[in-house]
Amino acid sequence: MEKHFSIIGGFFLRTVLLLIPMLALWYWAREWVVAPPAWLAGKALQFQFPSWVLGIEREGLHHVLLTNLKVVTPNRQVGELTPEIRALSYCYGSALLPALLLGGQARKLWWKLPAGLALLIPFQAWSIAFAWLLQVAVQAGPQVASEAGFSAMGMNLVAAGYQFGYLIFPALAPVLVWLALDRRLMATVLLEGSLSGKH
Amino acid sequence: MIRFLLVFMLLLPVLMVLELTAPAQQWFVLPWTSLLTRITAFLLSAFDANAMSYGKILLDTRSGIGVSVEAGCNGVEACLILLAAMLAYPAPWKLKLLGILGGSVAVQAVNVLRVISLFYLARWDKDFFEFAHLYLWQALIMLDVLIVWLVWIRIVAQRTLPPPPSTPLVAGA
Repeated sequence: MEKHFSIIGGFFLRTVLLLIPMLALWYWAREWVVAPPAWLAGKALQFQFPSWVLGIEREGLHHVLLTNLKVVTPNRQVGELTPEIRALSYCYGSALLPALLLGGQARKLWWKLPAGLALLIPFQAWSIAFAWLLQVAVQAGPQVASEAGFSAMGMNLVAAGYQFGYLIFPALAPVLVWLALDRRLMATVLLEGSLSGKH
Repeated sequence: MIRFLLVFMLLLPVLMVLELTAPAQQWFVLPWTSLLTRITAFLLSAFDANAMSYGKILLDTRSGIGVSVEAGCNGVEACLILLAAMLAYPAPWKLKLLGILGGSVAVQAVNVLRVISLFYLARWDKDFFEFAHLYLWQALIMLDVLIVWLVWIRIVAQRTLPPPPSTPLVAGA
């Protein structure tokens, strides 16, 4: 790598090297990591859909949304829909953010780290909530979607919200939060670029 | 910075929704995913005679174990994030275009490494495969996007920003 990219190169190397222990620590603490966003997602859905969301339940690494929506199995048995998701899949930003803050040598980590992790929770809750909603509005079939009050437009919005929650927020949110909390590295990159400019 | 973030947050959903439309899936995403799988199989064939591609599936013909390159694994969303970030950042259009082309190649090159590593991890250990697939590589690809963007904004600053004054300004006598 060229010398003038050493600030970015150093940041990259530090972040990659820190990501491994951060992911290990995050995985060890996985039950605590997923608890706040899963709770928030459950509360948000209970608030938005009080007629059919009863609450949430944890089963190992999976979180279950308890509903009173009726589903009929192929052998004509009737049960209640309980969509289940693996919340951890949407929460790896809680490992990436500390790696970015430490890799970028951010100052005042004592408040930036907890504040950053707290800022990630609404994004993670979005992902979890839409993963549940996708199962209710799209995957469980038109009868359940209609019982839950989803129109065709509502189903499309749920599908789009899920795509955002699955493909974009888990990876992008930690970077946005890092940029919001610590722009020193970006400022250094810009300053160094302008100083070495070809004007 | 606020203007950049606002434009970025407006552009990204538009690009994502466009990507999800049937024509974009049919004419761009699916052909790209197949091509990515073929490129990966071609690279693997240099040292692994058992690797072959079938549509979006990369298969080990000896063990029958393979990986299917799905949405989120084809690098399209990572490129869309980079595209939105470069379009939102104030820079001359020529630099934006060069950045989008070069940056997308860099992101996809790392994505090929991801698919190759996951192909072998799937054959070796299911738990390691799951961990690398769901968490490690997702974070690494986003880090790749961030690094490409940082390198690009440095080039933009180099070409467009005037250097700050080297000596402090002194009031005239």
